[in-house]
Amino acid sequence: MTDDSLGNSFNVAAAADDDDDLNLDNEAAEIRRLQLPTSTEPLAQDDDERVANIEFKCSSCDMHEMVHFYGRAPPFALGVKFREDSYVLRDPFQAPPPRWQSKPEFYVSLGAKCAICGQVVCKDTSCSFYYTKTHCLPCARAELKTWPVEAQSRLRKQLAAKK
Amino acid sequence: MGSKADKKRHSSMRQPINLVNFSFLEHRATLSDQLLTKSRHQHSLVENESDFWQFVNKYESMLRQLGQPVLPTLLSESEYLQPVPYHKSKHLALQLDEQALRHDTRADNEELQAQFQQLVLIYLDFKQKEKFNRIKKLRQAQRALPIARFKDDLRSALQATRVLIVAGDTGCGKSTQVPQYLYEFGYRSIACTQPRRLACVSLSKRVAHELLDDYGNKVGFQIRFERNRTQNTHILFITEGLLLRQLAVAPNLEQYDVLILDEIHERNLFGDFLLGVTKCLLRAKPELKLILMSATINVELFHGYFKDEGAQLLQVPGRLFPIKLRYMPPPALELKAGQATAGSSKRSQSARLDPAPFIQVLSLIDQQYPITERGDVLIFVSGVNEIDSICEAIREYAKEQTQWLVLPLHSGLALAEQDKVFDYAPDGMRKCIVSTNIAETSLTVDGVRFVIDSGKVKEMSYDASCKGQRLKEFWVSKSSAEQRKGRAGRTGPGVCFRLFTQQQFDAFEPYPMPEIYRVPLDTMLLQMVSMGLPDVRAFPFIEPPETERIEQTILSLKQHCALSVDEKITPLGSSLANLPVELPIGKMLLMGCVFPEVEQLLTLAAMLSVQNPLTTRAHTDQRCERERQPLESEQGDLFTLLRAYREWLQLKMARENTRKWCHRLGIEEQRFYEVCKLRQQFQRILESCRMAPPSDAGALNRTERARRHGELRQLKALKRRQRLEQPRQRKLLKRQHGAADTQQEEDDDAPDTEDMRDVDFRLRHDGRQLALLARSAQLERHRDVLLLKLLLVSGFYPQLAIADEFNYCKGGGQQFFHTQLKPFLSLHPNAHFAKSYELLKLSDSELHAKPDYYTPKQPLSERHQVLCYQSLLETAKPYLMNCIRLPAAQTLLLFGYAIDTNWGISRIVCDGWLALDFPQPGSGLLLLSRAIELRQRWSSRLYDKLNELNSNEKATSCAPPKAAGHDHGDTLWSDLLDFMALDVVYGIKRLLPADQKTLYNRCPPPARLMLLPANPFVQDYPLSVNSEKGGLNISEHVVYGCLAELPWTLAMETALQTQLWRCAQCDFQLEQFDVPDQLLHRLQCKAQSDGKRRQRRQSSPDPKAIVAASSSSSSSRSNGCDYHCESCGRHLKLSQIDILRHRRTCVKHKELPTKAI
Repeated sequence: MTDDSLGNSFNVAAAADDDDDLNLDNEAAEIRRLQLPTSTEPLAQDDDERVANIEFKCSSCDMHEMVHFYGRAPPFALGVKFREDSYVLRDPFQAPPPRWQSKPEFYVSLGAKCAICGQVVCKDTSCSFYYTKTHCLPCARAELKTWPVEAQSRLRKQLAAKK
Repeated sequence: MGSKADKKRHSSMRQPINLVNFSFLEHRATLSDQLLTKSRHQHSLVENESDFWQFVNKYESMLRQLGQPVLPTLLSESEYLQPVPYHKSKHLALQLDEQALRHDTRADNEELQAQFQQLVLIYLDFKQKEKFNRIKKLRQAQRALPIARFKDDLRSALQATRVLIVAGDTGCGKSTQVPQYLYEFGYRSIACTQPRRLACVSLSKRVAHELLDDYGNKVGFQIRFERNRTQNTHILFITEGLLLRQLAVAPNLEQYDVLILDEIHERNLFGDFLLGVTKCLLRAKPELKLILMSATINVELFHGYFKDEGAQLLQVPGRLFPIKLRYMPPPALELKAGQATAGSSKRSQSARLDPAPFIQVLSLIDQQYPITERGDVLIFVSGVNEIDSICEAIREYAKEQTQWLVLPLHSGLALAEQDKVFDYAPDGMRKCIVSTNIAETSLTVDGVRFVIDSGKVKEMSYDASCKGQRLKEFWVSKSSAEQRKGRAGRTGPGVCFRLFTQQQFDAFEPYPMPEIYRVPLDTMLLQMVSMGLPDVRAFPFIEPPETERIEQTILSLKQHCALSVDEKITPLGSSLANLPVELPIGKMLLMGCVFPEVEQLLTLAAMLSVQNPLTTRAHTDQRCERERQPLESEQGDLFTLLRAYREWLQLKMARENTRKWCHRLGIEEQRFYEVCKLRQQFQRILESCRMAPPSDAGALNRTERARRHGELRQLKALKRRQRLEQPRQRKLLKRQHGAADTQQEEDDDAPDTEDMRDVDFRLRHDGRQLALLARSAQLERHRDVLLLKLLLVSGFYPQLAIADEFNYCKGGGQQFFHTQLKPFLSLHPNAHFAKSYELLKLSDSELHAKPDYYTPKQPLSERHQVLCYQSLLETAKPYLMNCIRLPAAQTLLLFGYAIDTNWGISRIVCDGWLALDFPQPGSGLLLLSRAIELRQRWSSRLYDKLNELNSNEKATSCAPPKAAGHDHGDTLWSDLLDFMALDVVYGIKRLLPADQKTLYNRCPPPARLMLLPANPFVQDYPLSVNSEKGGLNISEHVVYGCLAELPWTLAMETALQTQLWRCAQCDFQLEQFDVPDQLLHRLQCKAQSDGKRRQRRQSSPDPKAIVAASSSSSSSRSNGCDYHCESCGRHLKLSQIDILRHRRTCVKHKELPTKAI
């Protein structure tokens, strides 16, 4: 928590925001809700970008998720980019940064398209192999011979583990 | 980019790093800087730096062990894209974004820096794999659930029908998966009901996690005191009760497109109610889809119920391993039970459960199953006391067989305690969970291999004949026994030991009794009417309650004025339906809204609505009793609790550790937090319907504000930390070393775990608010206590009890009380009044001499009392719970539904069961007419307010409707207090059914009363003859002159023939003391003195007191008598009237509670 920055007076408003965040006053809201019909206007624009709306579906296994980003440099990833276009999810296991801080957060890449055949595959060792780029396992097997022995043995190990 | 690539190429020429004589860890201080980005906030590339450095350490030692300590030189960008040469970094899909990184320009070793960056990448890649696998694993677990195979069936069924029943046993995954499937099918507004609040919270957390939305708000919950829901919430877990409330406000539930009712097999009241409501809703809302989920219990009932709606049934098999069944009835059970009852004299010990059979099964397990085979034990017993005694016995047994870990489990346990049952037992040990039926369906513990079932359950039942509840132990139903058995086979084959015989099992009921047969129906029926149901009798109950009970309930709703005579909802009724409390408490709140000090009322109502804060230990542990001693109130347990609550608030204000204090006194602190929350909820509801003025604790001053600001920041940080903490992981349980530790542990736990309830509480309440709360719990002043008692009775009437006439000559154990419907009840042994029963007796000094004509044997006194009880509960004996004591006659006259008098008003019967005798001339008339007047004023005040609110509900009124309450409001309350303090001598007697036959004269009134031009009691109430009882209806509740005269009333009349009567208002005199003539005069006299009366009420002592005085002074016996004033302690020789005057001034000055209240 980088709450130290809260010390200055500018952050009084921010603290109030935090208040909201913590749902401190939810009883009042609840009663209001019980009394009035809900207004259906979207709460805020910035919540939209937090909705994952890019479909990711592995062609090898049945992994099926919605992700936030497809490409090399997710705007929310910090100091890191991918070497190829990837399906990237905001890290679901990390708390999002407080609302008033535009802090980058962490991420998970779920997969990419096979560099040879273009099929979408996930990162699972039974679906893809990464060597300079993502290969689906059938393509990797075909490509195998053009690789140095170290890469070959690593793939073989992985294929063996699959069985 | 180009220049950087060049730099890289340069670096390849530099000296390679060899881990044999180098470690990155040695440069941690300088390298740490490089983990930070360039941006203003200096975020770190890694989530957790210490985790990163640990990784570095492991990675380095791994390379050393593999014999590859030399870090290979790094590749250039162009080399990287080629398959050859091989480099490990070619397996990394990530690269660092140079632009975002900070470059240490002073760096003397570029190779070091580059290799370090490489290391960061390896770490990040590793983390990526970790996270990816976490998601993958989660999905695998979901797919492995039995329900997963039915996903497509579910989809197609929903296309074909609107009502779908999903029947599957716990563990099949229906509660967590079905809402997600629906979301996947495209539904965006899914409500899922749960019977328990806790389930709402935990399910919403679980489902959010599975939707990878732990920190989002796709999934929310809504329970009584907490809501976690935004506009973006698509799946909402909500308690049944709350959904019903939403239905009451928005009858068509427009906001949801699918409704899931979960756990409907539990058949609780709300669940059954919801089933009926949704059946109607399906008709009103053609797009709504309804999914019912239940365990595989009596599924056909639900299927049949929704047959017309075309319900489809989806049966999901659970995952169950074979379970061996062993019937092991304890030998000679009857003999032992007989001994126990004969030998024990003290309370509740008689019903104590014998733990021996349970221990025998444990030792059997020890003998037959090697400890190397894992598997825990789950014991089912009926209640908390049983759990305690079994746990005690097992701890004893575990002193020798040290492999046993005992864990109690029931709903009264703190959450953290409950969670322990999910922890692992260490190797070579077994958990033994001793539980109520909570673990039967609602809570699932994995790893149980042995189930020991006592076959017993404790259930509340409702006795409509006396409007009381009964808590009794029953045999469970067959379906419950099967559920319990099933708990042994969830993770592997198991064994179920049943401590009863096969024959007994065969005689069990097939299903447990639905709650609707076991609880009062008033709240539910009222809600039905307020939802707009024209006839509650036509409600499509899945299994309807008895018609007679419905009729009784409707009658009592009418008596409470919640329903009108033609069964329409009244303004009071609709306000009551808005309040989420039991009817009497709701009524009390509303009746009290015209009361000047609403703050105290709110606190009282909240205290009444929570479970008893005193734990069982509070009454068994001498230390707790001693600690609570100073707080004991002579007014009854409720007032003791309020004192404790106030003390608690004061400790909070002083920032002391209240958790420890509560433990010392035997108080369940959670209840006090609930009181605060409930109180706030009441306040909000009353404010929102403008029944109460907004509460104002006062703004903080500058220093307070500054201090509060700091405090808030600290509290929020704590709260945030707790919220973002990883969900609790299953831990390894510690070994227990005997019984004493548990106590110890509780205290040890305290300092290191922050008390989140305390943090929450402090967040919600600043110093001023705390002070307001504490003030609202302050009930030391006599008038406050009395007023609150009156409000209590206004809600709880007719729950009154009267002492048995022979109590005066009996001891503590034999004090009996009678209610109208049930005779011979006791006070609960833990109650203060049971211990200090003298408080309910008349002392010798309180007895009055009888006039000659008064021949009945009951004692005359000014100090008769009645008890008002909150509930009637039958356990070992029928008990009156939470009693308060009140002056009898005044209370009865103020609240009785049917008050009947004779012609001379020397005798009054209330609700046909309590007869009041007033042998002093004029005293009956005095008390009655004042009661009528006060009652009239009170209810008109209330109805004015309710009507006003209902009429300008929509109109925007800016001024709160406060004015009405203030101008003569204060005199109403002080007049009520005066009335309660009136010293009138009377006798009280309980009538028996036989007395009813001769009670009424059934005669029309004499001619001269028929001549009365107007009503002498209530101006606007038209007089009419009561054809049933005889006499005249003189107000809504009072029939004058319908009681048959008794020998003594006739004798009294004769005696009075010789006496004069003088009007107190004017100089009018009557030759004879004759009540009908007095009434006639009253009309004439009133007409001329009406104007004066009001003035006089404020300046001089009450005119009614003068009536009393003049009438009593005209009788020969009470010209002066000895009087001992309790508030000032003086002995005085005073006439009746002067006593009254003295008492009033004395009470006003001192405000001390007197014993009589």
